[in-house]
Amino acid sequence: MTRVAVLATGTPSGEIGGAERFYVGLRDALRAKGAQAEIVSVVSDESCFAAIEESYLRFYDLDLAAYDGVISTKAPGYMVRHPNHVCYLQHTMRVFYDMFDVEFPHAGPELRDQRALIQRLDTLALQSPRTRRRFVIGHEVQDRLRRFNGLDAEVLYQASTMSGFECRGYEYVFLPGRLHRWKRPDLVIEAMRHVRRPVRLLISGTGEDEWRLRDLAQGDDRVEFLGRVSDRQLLDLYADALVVPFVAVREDFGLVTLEAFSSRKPVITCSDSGEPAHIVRDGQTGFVCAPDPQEIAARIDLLHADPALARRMGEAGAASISGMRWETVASTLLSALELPAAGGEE
Amino acid sequence: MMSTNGRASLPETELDRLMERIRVEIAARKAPREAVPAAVSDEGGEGPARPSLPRFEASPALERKPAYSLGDFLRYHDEEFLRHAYRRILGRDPDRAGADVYLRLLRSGELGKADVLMALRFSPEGRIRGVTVEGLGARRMISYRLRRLPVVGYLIEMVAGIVRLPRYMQTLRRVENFAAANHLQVRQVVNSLVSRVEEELRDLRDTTEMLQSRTGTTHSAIAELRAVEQVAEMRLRSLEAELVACRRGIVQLERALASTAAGAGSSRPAVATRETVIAGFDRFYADFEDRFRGTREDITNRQRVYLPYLTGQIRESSGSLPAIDLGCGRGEWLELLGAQGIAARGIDTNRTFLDDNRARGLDVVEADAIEYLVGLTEGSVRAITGFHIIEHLPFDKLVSLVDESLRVLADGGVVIFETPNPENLVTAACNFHYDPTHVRPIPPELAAHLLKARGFTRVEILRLHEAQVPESESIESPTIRRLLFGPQDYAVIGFK
Repeated sequence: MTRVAVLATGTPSGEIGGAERFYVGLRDALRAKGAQAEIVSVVSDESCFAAIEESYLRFYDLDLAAYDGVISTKAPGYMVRHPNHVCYLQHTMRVFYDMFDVEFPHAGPELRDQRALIQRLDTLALQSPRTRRRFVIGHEVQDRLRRFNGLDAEVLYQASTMSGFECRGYEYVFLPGRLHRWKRPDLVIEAMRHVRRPVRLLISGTGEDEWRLRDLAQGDDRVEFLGRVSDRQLLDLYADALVVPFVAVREDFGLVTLEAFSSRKPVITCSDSGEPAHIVRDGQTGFVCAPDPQEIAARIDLLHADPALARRMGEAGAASISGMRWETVASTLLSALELPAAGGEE
Repeated sequence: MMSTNGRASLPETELDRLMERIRVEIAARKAPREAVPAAVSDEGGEGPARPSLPRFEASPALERKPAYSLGDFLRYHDEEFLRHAYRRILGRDPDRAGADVYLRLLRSGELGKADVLMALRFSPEGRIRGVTVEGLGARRMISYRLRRLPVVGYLIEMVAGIVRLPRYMQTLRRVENFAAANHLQVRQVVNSLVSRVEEELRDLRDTTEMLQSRTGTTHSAIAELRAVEQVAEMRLRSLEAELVACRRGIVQLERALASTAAGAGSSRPAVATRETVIAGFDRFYADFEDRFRGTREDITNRQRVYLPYLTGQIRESSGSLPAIDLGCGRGEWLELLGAQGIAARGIDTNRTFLDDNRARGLDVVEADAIEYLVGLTEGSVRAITGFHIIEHLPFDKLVSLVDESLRVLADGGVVIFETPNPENLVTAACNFHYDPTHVRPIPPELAAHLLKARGFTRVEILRLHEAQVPESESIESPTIRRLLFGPQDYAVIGFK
């Protein structure tokens, strides 16, 4: 039996997020194809540059000779030295890439050198002979890899790992996800000031910007923060949602889009939101608008006034993602590794 | 199954060099103490990025204690010895003069270390502190004194020396071993320094390589940008060409349209009628004004200078009479008057201007300036203005214009004609001729004389719009400055 390592990078705190579900989804799909797949999780600490260097070295020194193939997924996993290695890249360390100027507007020479080093390491590690083939989770990552590292990659869409999505009513605006400035929940909260129709905004999740956002929503009793919710609650929240805004800045992939579509809900995303703007078809499966609260508000009003439109868009959304399947991901990766894939279509 | 040599089989690349450098850095960060030979101390607290460089360890300092033995001090040498002796016996650091003298005597061998201790301990300062140093007893004091005696002292020292020979030899061995140990330490420190320097040099070489490759990338990026620029320029040129083609197309279309309208039956090839030529010319002239006359804001600001001539003098007598602007063009002056509450009417023949002005809500009439004035009754107008019109008229027409103006003005009414000033040679020789409808420049004195001769009073010339002298010019002569950069326009102003 062929042994395949899915190389995961764990956070020092052991936090579970979208990335962790991704590893499980990938592993299970590989197993379904007859490979003896395992998640090999190695801690990657990104708290400071010294820790990042150590993380790079940790993966570089990792001995995975016991596996016939290795699939790396995230920085700095692709530093691994293995003759049969493909990368299915979720992301490099964005703070050294597109987020560098945002996070360090006054970066000095030291930071710039650090950025140059990381970019150089990534470029070298992600090409032959270190990496046989490159896949990326979406166009945003593909563009970035091309722009910063001069490397091409194939887009390979993942699927959602959750199941049990339902669609009941079309009642409120539902904003799931981490409350972090990169996700721009403030755009939606501000949009509520311009929404004329009596519709509520339910926000699930927690994050470092939660208190700032609560302040922002102060005085608008249509906005409700639900905090962390269970998977069951999440499915219920999706089931009765009218629309799911997903307005992050240059999102790499964004499972929210898939989850919303699986629940037959339209998605409002922004032209600068990255992959969601690729997946959502403007006017068909949701809306792609300018990152402007008034624009978002106008579309919420429109959908609230016409729930039948929301339903049509949600259903078109569900149909549009039917081709995104883990099975396709697994067979593509196994063939890139030139390893046998058992079992045909399920 | 992969064998463990799988990793080794990968060819070495720049990546491996970078990673090895990172490995060394991390090791250095983690164990700065281990990286340094044992004979070396780490005084600590320098940079966290690099371990501090190895250095010589100073002998442990001589602790303060109730009583010292001679041996406590003899462990030290030279300056170090002197410093410890001073600190422990006199309780202070050596003064410059004292140190100089003792060091010279010690180094020349004239004094032994015990002698120095003796001198310090039994100096007036030393006596006051009274520090106990065993071995500096009375016997040594006597020998110290005896050795200071002439001749006898020498003999005594010789005899004492022979007696003490075995002990001297022991001392010699001790000194020799001390020196050897010292030498060893020095060697270790130097070697570790050399390896550190080599490491730094390697790093530097790597950095240089990296920088060189980056420079290469930058160069290629610049080249790419140049290529993009060239493409853009080419596109711009082709767009310009297209624009010209479009303009020609429009003219052709207009002519075709006119000929269709003129004679539906005629099969003659399209020949421009007067109507269409005029329509085409009107738009051309409006476009010309936009390009060469200046923006609306510029013109409005320039024309403010004339407002006092209207607002000051006429209000009381003929406040309700209108002002007439001949050749009103884009209507800036009409707007300015309107803003002052002065009724104003514009006269022009250019239909493009007329349409624009009507759209702006201004009162305009399509007419020839002189013909229009002829139709007015005497004394019915408070002011007549004409900005850049008199240079468009042959001289006989200009005379009629002045005469008709005088006739239609109310008493006290003002006439203002602005025109290019040929006193400025650039205006006269070049700029004047930009406008193909200009007849000829009119010198200011001629204009003033004309107004006076036909009956206007208080005639004045207002010179306006001096040209900007380029900062790079250093023209001293006021005459040349005036001829080249003097007022480009003037107005001739007169009252009825």
